[in-house]
Amino acid sequence: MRHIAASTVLGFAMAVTVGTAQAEDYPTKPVTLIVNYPAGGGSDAIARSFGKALEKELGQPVPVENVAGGSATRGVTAVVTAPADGYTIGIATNSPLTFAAHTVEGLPWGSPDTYDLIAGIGSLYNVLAVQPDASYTNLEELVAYAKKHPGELRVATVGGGLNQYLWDQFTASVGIETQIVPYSGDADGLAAFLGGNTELVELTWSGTKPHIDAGKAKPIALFGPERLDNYPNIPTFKELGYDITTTSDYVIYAPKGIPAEIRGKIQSAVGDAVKNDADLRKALVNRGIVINYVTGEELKPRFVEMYENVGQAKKKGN
Amino acid sequence: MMGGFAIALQPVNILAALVGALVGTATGVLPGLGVLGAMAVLMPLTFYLAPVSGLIMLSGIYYGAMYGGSTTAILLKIPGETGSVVTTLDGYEFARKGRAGPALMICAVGSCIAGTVSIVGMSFFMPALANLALKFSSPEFCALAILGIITLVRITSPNLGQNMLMVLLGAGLATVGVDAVVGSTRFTFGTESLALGFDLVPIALGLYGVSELLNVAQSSTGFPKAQSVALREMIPTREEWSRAWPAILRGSGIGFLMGLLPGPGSLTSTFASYGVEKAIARKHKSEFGKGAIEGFAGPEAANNAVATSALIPVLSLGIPFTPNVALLLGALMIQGIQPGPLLLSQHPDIVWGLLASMYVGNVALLILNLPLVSMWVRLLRVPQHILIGGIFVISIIGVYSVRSSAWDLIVLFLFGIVGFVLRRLKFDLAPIILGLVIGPVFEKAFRETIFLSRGDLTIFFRRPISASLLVITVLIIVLPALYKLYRRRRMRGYESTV
Repeated sequence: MRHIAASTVLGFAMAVTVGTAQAEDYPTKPVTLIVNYPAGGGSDAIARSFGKALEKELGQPVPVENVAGGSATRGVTAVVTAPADGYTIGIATNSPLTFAAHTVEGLPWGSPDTYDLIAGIGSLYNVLAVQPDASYTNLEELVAYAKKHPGELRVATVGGGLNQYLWDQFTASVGIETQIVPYSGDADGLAAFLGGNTELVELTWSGTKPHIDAGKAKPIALFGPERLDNYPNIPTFKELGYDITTTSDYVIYAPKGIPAEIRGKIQSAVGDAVKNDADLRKALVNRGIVINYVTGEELKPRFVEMYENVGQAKKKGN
Repeated sequence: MMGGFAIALQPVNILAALVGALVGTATGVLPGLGVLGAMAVLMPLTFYLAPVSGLIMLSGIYYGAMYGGSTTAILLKIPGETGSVVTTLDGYEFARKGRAGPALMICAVGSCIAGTVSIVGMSFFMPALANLALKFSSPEFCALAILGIITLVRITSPNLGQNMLMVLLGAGLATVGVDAVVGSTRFTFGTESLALGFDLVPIALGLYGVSELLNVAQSSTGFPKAQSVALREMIPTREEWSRAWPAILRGSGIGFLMGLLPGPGSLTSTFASYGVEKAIARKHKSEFGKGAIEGFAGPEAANNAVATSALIPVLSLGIPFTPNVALLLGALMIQGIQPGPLLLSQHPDIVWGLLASMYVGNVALLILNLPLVSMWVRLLRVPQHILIGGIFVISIIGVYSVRSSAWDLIVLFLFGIVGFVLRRLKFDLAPIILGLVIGPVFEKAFRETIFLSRGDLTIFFRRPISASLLVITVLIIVLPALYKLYRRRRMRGYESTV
């Protein structure tokens, strides 16, 4: 009996030693980075730049795998169902994680409790812009106009995700009625706006910026926590009295249950890459992303809140 | 522009163009291996190059693939890219007459001419054309999609009902999965695989590639004998040229215009070009479907012209209308260049360098591919069971590489069987692909239009471009019927006077 007890203890001890040894050596083989969009898109480009930066930090190759489709949920599923050994991590934005989680059926994941948020690397703001010859030139005038002409203003945005969520929040809080025209991406929405088909456009800063620079779109306000360094003249919704600061956040996440030591290594590698890697920072800034490293622990409450808000909005809608 | 050539003719840029064209041709030839994937994988390499060299390489891949896709379509009836589906109709039949070499050569020269026409058009009219593209919005796409479907279903076989059924089948398949407008899931029965929807690549490769394999495997004669082709039969005859070049020019024009518009230009332009060639054919009308030169020379030129003119919205507006050019845009942004309305004034060196390099790239593509023609044709001497088996393996790899999904492989096999059965029943397969591609375009545009007009359907008739497109559609449906009626009347009138 004592033999059995002793050997069990020994077995445990060995298992723990082996476990720590593995954690100490991590990583001993390539770490796969799954991106939930197909090769060639904006998020893919960010993932590839990030993978290159992480390679330098971890000392192992970080191949990027595109697992696209299903409203960007398939990539998340691939990450969440992978072994929790630190050799599969994912990069995604909060949009599929909190929106599509409610709309796509049959997913093996849902609330932020079902995966492990490791870190946030930066945010993409949305901007509201109007036609350059519009009679309203700031948010106050725009709201006044919309109140006088309910349902007349059309806004080009992307349907079903963060973009529309922001606009719905704003119109509900100010009590105006507008007509959303849901497009499938920045390109479609901007083309429609530039062709004069809609009065307003509410899309990502990176997509809209070149047209603002060219004078084809007049910026009104930003959905974000603070003004942009390079464009200090564009106010935020928050300072104009509408507390809507949700942004599109790029996060690194993993399946639940990664050994704490390995998780810590990944987290600090991500942090070092985001803070110090010049190439990665350049790629992010060129994409219009405001770099802001936050740990998964800091990020999670925001994700939970957004996930629940979206869930409630969906319930109300149905 | 001269400055542009000075940039493009630097040795490193010529090399970039050659490498790009070579890789592109290879991905085009290998079915399923998408041009998008090749560009994405090579993109990190371009970070180390100067912006212009990187762009030159990426666009080389892009137009190399447009050309390369025709090779397997002509030789084996398996389209390498979706833009080559139409080429399987007549290109393959033409090659079966022992004229594979001339067919490939006509495509190579046609691609080069189309690229050049497109680049010249682009150099002169870029700013004006960009604004034209903005005139097309959701209502116009909707009208264009209706016009497209109505005219294009007629082109492959005279059986309108059968073709319409196939278009509806394709359009129906496209509705499965996540809806593009509001992001809800449809027809998925709660499964994750169906939420993925049906991707175009496995369906096209299944319908054409796998079904061809099944077809060969079950035929009583077994695998067709390897053909031997004499080298002197590589060069098209004078008569073949004289039939090909007007079609190439028309195809270039069609492709150039379709590339300006959002949507699946490379596929639709080939259908449109085929339709035009068939409609205006006089002497050789009966040859269509049996190996008419115009039936592949035009469409192949069209998809290469699209590859070039699709860059106009990106370079002049910063708006990419297809995933391929979105990737080029991404490459520019990584280099710190913000494409948009100001690109031409802020970075003229990049725009003109790119344009000039496209001239260089097109010539490089031609120089690269003319000697390869005889190599491809020699491939036909390889026993077909080895050749088709090899293609089959590559198809599986290619399909899986797009989204790493086993479901797509199931779709590939499933549609191999569907394609096999439909061929037995003498159905045309091309309309399924057409429905799969145009169906979602129509649905999205229609729903956007309803949002834009706040539910008012008269918007289609109040906008001049969409109204004219709809009028043309109605005329196309009504005129042939009226003409028939008129002829019958006259015949009857003639009889009664006798």
